[in-house]
Amino acid sequence: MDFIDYYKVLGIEKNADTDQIKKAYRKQARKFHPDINPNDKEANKKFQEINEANEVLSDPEKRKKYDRYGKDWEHGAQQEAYNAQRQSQGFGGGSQGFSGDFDEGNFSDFFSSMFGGGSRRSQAKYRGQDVNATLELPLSNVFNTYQQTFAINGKNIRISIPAGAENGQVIKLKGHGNPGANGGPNGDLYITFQITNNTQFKRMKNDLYLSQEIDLYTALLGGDVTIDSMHGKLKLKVKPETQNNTKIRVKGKGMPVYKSEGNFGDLYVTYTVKLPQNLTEKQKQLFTELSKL
Amino acid sequence: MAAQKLVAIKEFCLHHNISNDLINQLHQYEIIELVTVKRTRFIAEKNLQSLEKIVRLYNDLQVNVEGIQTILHLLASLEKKEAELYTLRNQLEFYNAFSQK
Repeated sequence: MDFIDYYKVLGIEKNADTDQIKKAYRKQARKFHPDINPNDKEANKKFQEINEANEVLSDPEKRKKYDRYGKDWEHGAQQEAYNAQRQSQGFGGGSQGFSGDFDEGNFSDFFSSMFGGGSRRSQAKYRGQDVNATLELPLSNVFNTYQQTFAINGKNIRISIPAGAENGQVIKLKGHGNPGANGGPNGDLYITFQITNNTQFKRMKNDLYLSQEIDLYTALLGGDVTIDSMHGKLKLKVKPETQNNTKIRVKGKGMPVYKSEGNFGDLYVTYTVKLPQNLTEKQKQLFTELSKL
Repeated sequence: MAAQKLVAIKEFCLHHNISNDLINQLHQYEIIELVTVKRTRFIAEKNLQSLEKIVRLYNDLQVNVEGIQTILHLLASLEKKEAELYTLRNQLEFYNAFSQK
């Protein structure tokens, strides 16, 4: 646990008065408030520090304690705990300090150790922090609407991932983030899809791209070629005299369009002509004859 | 037309301890959309989260309505840019995958 210089956090002098603290807090909060910095973990962390600093410095009693022990706060906290225990034993009274059953929320270990948790006197309600999570999915899984259950903050959440979700896409689950402070609402849970390609296709938005080898004879004379698409096996016609790298479009055989049921992107197939190898004497003779025609 | 859930502005103000004036101002600035049914004003449930965010900006950060409008505009533009960034990143990966082949 490191010592936190709350004055430094708020950017104020040690002799700052209540107004200066309030002003500094508002100035910093405006910069780092989670509503202004969505999906920014660093800003959220900073906001937590600012809140904590304000919590201590705007409360005369806490500030006094903080100022008294400074860097030796750990020892000071222990001493106070010892004193409180003695007092409680001696007079049979309960401690007036902050008890351990208080929800410590998002306060640092330093704060909790020194003050035993968040302030009960705080008036402001704060929304809980948003939580960001990454969900790794193979491309084949987002071809259909996909259900997945995972645990966040000890709760199992079942989410439905609509077919056609894209890599890097973020969905928001309202109220599934960290709990709010002082009765404030819970934060939200943001899930980023990290889609890994486990298929032979390349994906561009809703379209899929495939490179398909065809032999020389099919390229020259035409014929059929069967491919494995995301929609199952597809029989494609190859026109006679198809050139190498000819690209054809198969309409509606790409990825599903996100949240648009029944609509699909296209599949683009590029034919690469594979020349025969290890020719027999007969083949060589025939190709020679052909070349002389 | 699909039925939408509505929350009475009066209830919302009471719950969040804010004045009706703020709601009027937000409406005048076209920051929020209100629904009036038989002279009672409501907010659609789908817009509730956005209104709560505005109230937090107003109460927690003491940002005035003009400031809120600017922040919301910038956040929307940021969100759009982030979406563009994801698309471009995916396109770049796509071209890289082809060029490595």
